[in-house]
Amino acid sequence: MTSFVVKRLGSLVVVLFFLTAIVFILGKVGNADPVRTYTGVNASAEQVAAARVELGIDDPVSVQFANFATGLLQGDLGISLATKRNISDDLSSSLPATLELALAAIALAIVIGVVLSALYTRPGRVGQVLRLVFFSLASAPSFLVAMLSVLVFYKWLGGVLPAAGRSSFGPYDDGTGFYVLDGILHGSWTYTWDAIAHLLLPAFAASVTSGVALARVLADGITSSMASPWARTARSLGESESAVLRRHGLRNASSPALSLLAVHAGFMVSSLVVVEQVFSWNGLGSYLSTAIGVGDFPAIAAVCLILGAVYVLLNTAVDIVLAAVDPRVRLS
Amino acid sequence: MNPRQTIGAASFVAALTLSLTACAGSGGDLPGETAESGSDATDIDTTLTMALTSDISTPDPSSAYSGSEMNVVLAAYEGLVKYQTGVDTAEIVPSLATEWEVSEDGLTYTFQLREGVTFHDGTPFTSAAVEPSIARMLEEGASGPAYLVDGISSIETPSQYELVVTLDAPNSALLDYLASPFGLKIISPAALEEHGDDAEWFASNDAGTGPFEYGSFNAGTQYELTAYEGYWGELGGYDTIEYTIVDSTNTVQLQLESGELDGYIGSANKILFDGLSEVDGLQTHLYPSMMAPVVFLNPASEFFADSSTRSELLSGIDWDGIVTTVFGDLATASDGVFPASMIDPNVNTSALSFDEAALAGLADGALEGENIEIGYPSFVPGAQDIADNVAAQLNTVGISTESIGLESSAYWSTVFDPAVAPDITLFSAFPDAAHPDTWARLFYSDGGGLNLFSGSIDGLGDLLDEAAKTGDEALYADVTERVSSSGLWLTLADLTVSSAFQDSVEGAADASYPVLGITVDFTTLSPSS
Repeated sequence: MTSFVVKRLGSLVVVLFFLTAIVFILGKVGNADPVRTYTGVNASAEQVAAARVELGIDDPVSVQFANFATGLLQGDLGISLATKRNISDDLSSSLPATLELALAAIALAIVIGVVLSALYTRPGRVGQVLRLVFFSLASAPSFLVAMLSVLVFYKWLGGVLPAAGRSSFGPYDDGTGFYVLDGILHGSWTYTWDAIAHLLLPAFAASVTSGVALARVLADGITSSMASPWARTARSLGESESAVLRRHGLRNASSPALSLLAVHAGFMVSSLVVVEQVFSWNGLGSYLSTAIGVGDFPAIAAVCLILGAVYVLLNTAVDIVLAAVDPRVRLS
Repeated sequence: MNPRQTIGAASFVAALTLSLTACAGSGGDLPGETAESGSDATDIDTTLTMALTSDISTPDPSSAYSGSEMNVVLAAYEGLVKYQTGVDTAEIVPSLATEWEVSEDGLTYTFQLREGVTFHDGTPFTSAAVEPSIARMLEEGASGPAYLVDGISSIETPSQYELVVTLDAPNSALLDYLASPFGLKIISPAALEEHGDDAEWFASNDAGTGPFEYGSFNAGTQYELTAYEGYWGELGGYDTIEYTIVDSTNTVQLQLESGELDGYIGSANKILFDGLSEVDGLQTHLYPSMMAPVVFLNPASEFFADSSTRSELLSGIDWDGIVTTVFGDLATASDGVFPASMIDPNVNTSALSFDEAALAGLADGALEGENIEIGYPSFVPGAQDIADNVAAQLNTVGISTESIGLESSAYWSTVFDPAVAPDITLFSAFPDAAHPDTWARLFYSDGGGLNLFSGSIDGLGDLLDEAAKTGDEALYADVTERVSSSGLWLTLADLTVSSAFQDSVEGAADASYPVLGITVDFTTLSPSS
């Protein structure tokens, strides 16, 4: 296990190096000119030239890459050309925002997957309706689900759930950036509930497709597991149907479901770019979207590095969980 | 899970959802909780919640030069003079200076300063605060607004409340430079001594004399301003101004309708404005601004090297029709080359006039069989509609034209590169100040920041220098004639800025400063009692 984790962390360094190089090269090949973002559009040619020197944009590409990589090793991500703030300061608020939303979306995807798979294997009228609703939502793009949910829960239901932002109260000065956790740590149920209420719609919009996909894989796995010879053996030994499902069916079906979840978690982070914008969620997605529009290369590179790291770590975590729940899987 | 369990689970989720907003659980503290938070429901809400649809750049008084962040900067800092709010034509009025005189040679400006003013850190405002503020602006604003004070050669302080500014050369635009939203802001000398080199400190702390102080800033989410009780003037009716970032204009509209937002000041978004105008409980206004879209023809293009072809093309397009289609009531078609409210209309009449037959002549002549490319900035509101309408008119007469949208970074690397620049482009911008020199130098002069295709007119620079030196407005008639007859540029329209406020906000109609239109004086606003 330890050697597996060490190997994965080693590969993370290599992945991040190549990711940095690719993002950097794309930024240069794209012939983007981000200087006006930094100076303001009214800046004169002379002022723009001065800013190019200040930002080192006219340096050879190799020098720029070396400067960027050196800064990175020292923990300095540079200055955002758009906000003119330290990128690490910007990310200190946007990274927890995205992680909180992603964790909530993954949790919700699991809930949707488990509930729908149960309905799928044991259909009834209510189940049929719910399946229809969820499958329809899953076939729609996430921005449409997001906008529809805002219309339903904010406009038509009189603001039962908030349409934008992460909290009605702002962050705590000494907070972790994870608002639900911060509310719990400060013992404020009002704050905690408010943060959860703000999470629900964006998490739902980001998770519904993954939840439905998970349900199908789980349902298929459970159906075949419950029809297998060892399930019949378990039943003949007197185990109840629910015990067979819990101890054998779910466990055997969980391996492909977990693998699928790992893949979908990666896609989910991508879909958050859109979802975050609809809900004015100040996360990496919104930050990246703004940065791409104005060619804010240092900010783009920083977010790509973080997303790459999250993806590798997420897959590593899923591999470990997979080995824990399925004895046939070995970490190597 | 059987159907009964399913219904139970669904009921639980629904109950949980409803309880999230209904639950007013006690216990624990909330961020920024104050004694006032517990005031009873009959109290007037003195927090004004405004929306911004994108995050702002750092609100540093010496270097801020983009637009949106000026909402925050102008609330906390003041200059010597400023523009009057609520008027169509820019008028310079006192701020930290109460009176001023200009010497006959135009080189010396003597200001009488306001007494009894304190900075937010408690330091009294005197003439000694001006020079270090200028020095910081020259340093920190070098790639931005520093040029607005660059012509000052010396500062004298005969007394605590008298200031003498001497220029390198006469400049009739100086007072406009000082009144500009991007112009000199006076900063506490004590703060400058302690934090002058620390741009990070000025990103979230202020040391001005304005009616509001920087409150809690949560970058990308929320910016709060709190009233400065020691302010020398009237504070207005709001204790707190809260700017919240809402990325989607659809959500802005929903939050205005629900009352969650008190106000929004946007750009020329016709659909949003029309939608908000129909909502009960909202008041909508069109603020005057000097924002104007300008069309550029590329003299380096093989089609537009000749000025007569350029002028024919510009004369042949029905610009008035395009302005009406794209902007509706939010804009007025332009007659000149300067924003209409900037200068006497008698010196701002374009040499071009609409000629319905001109395009047909080009289609059969200079542009026969050619393909024209319009590259428009997709990040500028209305730009795509304008470009598409121009393309449609040209295609209709047989001049093959295609319009291509470019994102910000791609746009700037394209329009200044003759090898890849399109044949036509357009851009909307506001001048730095209400003086015609700031507009002409930005768009029409060599090296001008928005002279996108580097168009050049012989002798125009000297003419602008002379006009700025003497302040003789008649010289701008010559500028207008030369610019419009060159066919290099066409000022398309005078834009307004749309705004919407709850009916409960008083004073909104006259709150806007005239140059940008998007900035307001919050002291003019108050909640209805």
